[in-house]
Amino acid sequence: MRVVRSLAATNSTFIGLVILIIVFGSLNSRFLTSANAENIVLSVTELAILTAPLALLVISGSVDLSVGSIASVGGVTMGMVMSDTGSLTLGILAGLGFGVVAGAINGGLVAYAGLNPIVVTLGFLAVWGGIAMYLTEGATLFEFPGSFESLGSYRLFGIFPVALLVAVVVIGVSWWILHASRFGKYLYSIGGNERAAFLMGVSVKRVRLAMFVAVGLTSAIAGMLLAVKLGAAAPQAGRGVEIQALTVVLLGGVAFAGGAGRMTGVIAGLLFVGVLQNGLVVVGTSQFLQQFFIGAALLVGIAINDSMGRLVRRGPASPGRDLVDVVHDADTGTAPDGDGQPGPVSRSGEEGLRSAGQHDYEGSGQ
Amino acid sequence: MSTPIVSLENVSVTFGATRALVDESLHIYPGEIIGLLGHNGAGKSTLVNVATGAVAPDRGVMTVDGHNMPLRGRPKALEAAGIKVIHQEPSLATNLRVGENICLATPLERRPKRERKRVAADALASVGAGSISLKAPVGDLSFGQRQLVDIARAHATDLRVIFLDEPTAALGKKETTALHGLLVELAQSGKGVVYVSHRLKDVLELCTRIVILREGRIVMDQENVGITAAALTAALSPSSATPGATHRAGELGAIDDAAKLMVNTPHQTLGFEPGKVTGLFGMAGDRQFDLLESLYGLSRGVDATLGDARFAPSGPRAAVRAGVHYVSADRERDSLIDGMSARDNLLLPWLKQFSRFGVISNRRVRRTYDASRDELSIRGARDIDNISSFSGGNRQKVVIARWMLVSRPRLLLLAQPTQGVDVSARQEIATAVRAAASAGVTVVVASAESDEIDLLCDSAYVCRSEEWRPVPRGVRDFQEQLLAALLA
Repeated sequence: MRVVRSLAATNSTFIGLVILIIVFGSLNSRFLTSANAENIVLSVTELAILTAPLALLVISGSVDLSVGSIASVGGVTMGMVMSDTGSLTLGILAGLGFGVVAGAINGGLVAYAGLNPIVVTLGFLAVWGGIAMYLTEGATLFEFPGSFESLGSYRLFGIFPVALLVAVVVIGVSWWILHASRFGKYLYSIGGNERAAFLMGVSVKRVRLAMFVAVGLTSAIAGMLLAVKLGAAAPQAGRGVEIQALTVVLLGGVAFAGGAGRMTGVIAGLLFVGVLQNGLVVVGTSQFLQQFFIGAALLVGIAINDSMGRLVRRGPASPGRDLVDVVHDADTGTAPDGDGQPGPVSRSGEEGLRSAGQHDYEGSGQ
Repeated sequence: MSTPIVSLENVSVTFGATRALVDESLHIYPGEIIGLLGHNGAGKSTLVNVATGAVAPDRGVMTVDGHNMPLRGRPKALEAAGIKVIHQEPSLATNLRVGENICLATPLERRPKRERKRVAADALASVGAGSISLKAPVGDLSFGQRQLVDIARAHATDLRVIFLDEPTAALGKKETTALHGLLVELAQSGKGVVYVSHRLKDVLELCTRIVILREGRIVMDQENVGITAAALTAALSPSSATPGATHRAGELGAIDDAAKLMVNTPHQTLGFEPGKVTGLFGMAGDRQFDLLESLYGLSRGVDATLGDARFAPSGPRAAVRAGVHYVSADRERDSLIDGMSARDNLLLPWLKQFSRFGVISNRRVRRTYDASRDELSIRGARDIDNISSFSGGNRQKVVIARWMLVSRPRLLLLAQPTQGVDVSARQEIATAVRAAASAGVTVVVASAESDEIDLLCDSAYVCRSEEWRPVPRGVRDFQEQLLAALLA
């Protein structure tokens, strides 16, 4: 009972997931089959690869809206290099390289130039989306080397495709970073109070940059694996993925303002979206209603999470936000920030680039 | 006796496993100034929060003028009934003007502009702040002026009872006296005043009735007639355990790289000896805090030597690496990360020492936390609980432990380290500062409070326009000497 309670407390998405499975299962017996379970998991595999690191980025108080477009360009880059050179390896390396570069540009502009992450990545959502279309002239790329085909049909133990293996690794590493590593503590601290983290000597900029690079890299990987799955690199393959990914992150109980969230919640969010999309098809709902239901689930989920959180705060021992900071929030509701003087400083090693007294530390998160 | 304006009866509040308030009652009569005393976590803030609607109690009844008031944690409803609260930090929007702030989120907002202006001006005048312009941006006002604007805001609409939480923590002597005068006037005009403070002297001078809370219970509630400071101290902490008695001084042992700090200013050179606690004393908002920040690399242009080497850190990271630790005066903004556990907040700068290949060793983290907890008697929730579930004084102890106990600094910079904490926490922090100094740490304390400098420091520099005037601790009263040097 306590376990259920704490799961419910941290994430109503778990409960929603169970309810969905029961509802769809009772509506259609085909839903509760192992073949369908496999469908569900495979349908969110590529999404999972970029969503897990994105959740970490959001926990650190940033966001990346360009993940879908990076995925598109990643897939297209791999396709074009493969077509030109006939080498799968070179194609993959090119795709990975692009992901790192795209992430580094985002991260550099946000962490070092102090620009707002929403603005920067909204810009690159359009820029990379446009470049993917331009490079391919809107056409989908086919006819790749045989090694590409065999990557697509490879199954470990006859069951697990490459994408699923990658997804398991990415989720595992993300979980480990968030809950066991030092880097994870830095992510929470920057998302929770960037200024305090900075004053404690956390290299806020380096952590930010690293996180954007990780998201760029995994987005490109997701894009390439999508191409592998489809057997073709489509320039619009990643369109709308950023919305799906952010929905999963928020459904997973990650605070959009940063500082809070758990990997288990994100996994629940992923499965929730997978089950919902699949279940609606299996029970024969119009596919045009899918978006509607996902949006509604997000709104209901957030509302329930929020009120659950409030209820649980009054009950016994739930680590995390509790009543005292509700009070604290109320206390500071109208005031602070006004004199939030930017702590003037630059990190060691770059002082030569900055003129004396220039303020180079900005609260660049939200 | 007249009827009470506000009555709270049989109020109980629990936070998780903590019973913050146990079945207590409080009646506030017109014309009273109630001094509310208690150690950190004794339940003072909880009581104020219940009375002003910020916290919904588990049980309890509240009446205002004999009418039942639902206790559902609705601050708006209580505000409309004339029950106002002035927080330690004035709750004003610094980007708006004085007049706009006074009317903000009150029924006045719906009144015509001319009436708003008149009411706001009257309110300002009635709190003795008629000289502040309605058009002045709040961001330009001093701390004391902001507090007056906050009180004027409470006064602008119907005011019955006003709660003040540590209102003088950041005020100078003159401003404190003025505020006390204002509170007496408010009480004489029939309002109820509840004054939360750690300063026994202020409470004894000002209040008509004194209420002491201990562990969620009211242990004393009597008219302020013939009460002595000693009696208050006794009522505050009955357990005769003297603060710091369990203290094991210098557990980390003497540091082997003690270093003298020299700071060159345009006019003079200031020396700070290792093993000594040196104060920097000045008015609130004066240069003593800027000097500390520049030594931590938060602003450029400090000309200093630490030991034999020139010292000009490029930022906090470089400062910490050089063994320079800094406790900011603004704990919530600068020092703590809400949402992270107490032990993460304690150890965040030192995680490298507690991890191998990036993996944190929870066992060693816990052991270190326990050591700090015992040394500074940090009380309240568990180590894995959110830092914000601890009371203010215990949060401050976590910050102090982070920078003083977990890793010994060479140079320790403290900005008002005992501000807003209770008497026993103050003693515990003072003991820890002493222990650090006797281990060879160079300690610098910046403060706008002479009693804090007196408590902690061996000597001080007093900020006088351009220069710093050294004041050694002499035979005469140290505080008097400090103030004399400041005002001379």
